[in-house]
Amino acid sequence: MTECAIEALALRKSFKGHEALCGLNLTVPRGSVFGFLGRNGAGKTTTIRILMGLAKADQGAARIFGIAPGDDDSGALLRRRIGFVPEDKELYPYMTVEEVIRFSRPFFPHWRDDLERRYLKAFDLPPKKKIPDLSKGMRSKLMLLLAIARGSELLILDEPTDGLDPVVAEEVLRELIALSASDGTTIFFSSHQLAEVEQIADRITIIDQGRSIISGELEDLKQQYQRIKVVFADGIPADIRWAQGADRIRNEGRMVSILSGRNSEEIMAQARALPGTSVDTYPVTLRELFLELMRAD
Amino acid sequence: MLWKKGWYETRIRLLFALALVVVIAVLTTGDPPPAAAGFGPAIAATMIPAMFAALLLPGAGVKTQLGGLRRSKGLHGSMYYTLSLPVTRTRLFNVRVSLGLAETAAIQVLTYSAILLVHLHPARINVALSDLFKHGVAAFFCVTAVYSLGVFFAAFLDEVYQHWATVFTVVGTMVILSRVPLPASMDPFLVLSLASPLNTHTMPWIAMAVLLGLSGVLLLIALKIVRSLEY
Repeated sequence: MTECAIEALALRKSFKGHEALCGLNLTVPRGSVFGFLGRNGAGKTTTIRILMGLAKADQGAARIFGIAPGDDDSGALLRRRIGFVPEDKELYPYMTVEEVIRFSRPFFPHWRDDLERRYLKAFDLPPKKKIPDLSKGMRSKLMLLLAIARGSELLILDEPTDGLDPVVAEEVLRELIALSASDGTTIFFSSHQLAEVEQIADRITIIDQGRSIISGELEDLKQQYQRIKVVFADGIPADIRWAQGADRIRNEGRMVSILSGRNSEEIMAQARALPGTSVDTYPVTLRELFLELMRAD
Repeated sequence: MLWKKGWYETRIRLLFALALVVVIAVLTTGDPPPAAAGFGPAIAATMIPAMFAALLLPGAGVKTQLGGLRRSKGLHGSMYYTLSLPVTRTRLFNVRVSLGLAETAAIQVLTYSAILLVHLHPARINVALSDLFKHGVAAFFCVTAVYSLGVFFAAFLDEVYQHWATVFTVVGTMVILSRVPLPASMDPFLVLSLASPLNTHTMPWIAMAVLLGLSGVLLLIALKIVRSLEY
């Protein structure tokens, strides 16, 4: 049995001359809660579509539980093991909540009636209401219910809390953590809500312009990256060349703000050796890290 | 469950098509044809509702027939949900096409019942039910070809264009066949009028084989396109 839930190797995908993915690598271990981050148009949804077999990579390979999702037959078998919440949270407009549940149930041999009942109640979903009469938030909740109740080994969630109020979003996140802890379900989710990702993810990948720019265990990354602030009493010297590891450097008045991913000690020693400086280091939040990486690009 | 879903998505259009067939059949009721002319002119006249239904159901219905496989206005977002189900695209396609053909057959049954009741019965023309059955089967093959054409266009054209592409192709074929005639036993339009089993009392096997082959090729190409579609 493969240890990876998802593996993507050198994925490339172009649309009308625009490269959406440029050699993306991705490894999602089984049982992890994996945050997939990036700006709009970074290639997140394209990646998810390739993983769900909705699109084919021009080059490279994607595997879920060691199986190629793009194959019609094996992909269908694979989808029994995957719960999916797409970016477009639309369902059949002619069905009610209970009809869409009844429709979905027979496709999944491990359908969890207990989870279905639990989330129907927890999300306060009206069984008799037609899909078009549901609010955006309600539709998001229903999509989550349908993904979770499949009894899947892997949940692929594209902006799962989109449209949910903060209280319900919090509740959903707690449920996802509980699901991962109790059943070992792997959760792969993309989100713009960095605080949410920080709250539940144990691993992340940040992608930009179709390639992974940072990837790893969230705690390791937070320890690895530091903000070093160097204040110069007499202004920033023009000819300063920082040591390797100073990934992102911003000059703000008399202060230099450095995001360092490695070699922090050497950078701090270099800063302290400069005349008239005071040097401080700060831990980096995921939000800061994300914004800094995006800003630099 | 896919059948049920398909039924939910097509039932209104089917009922609309059925109602239209009845209305057109009633509206086209005329004087009985002269006996010397055989059944050809009568059947040709009564083919209007059948052909209209043949064009209407695939043309209008295909966008929902392939609703789980193609983008369409009403079902756009739900397409992703359908495609996330553990079902092959081949099965989705087969269910949709089979359902469409069953609905087309239902329209045929109603059309020929209407012909029998509205046209032939008042004219007191003695038609053998076996001949009417043969005509119905031949017509179903013809309509299946039209339906398959609709499915073929639906596999790669947006819904606005697929309907017109089907209509223009059928009309174009009629125009071509009027100028470059095929043998009567092979011409699908003649098989439904002058060379109808109502006149010949035999099954138009050659025309049916051609139509079946054509339908098969169109559906196979459509399936191949659908299997390779990206979303």
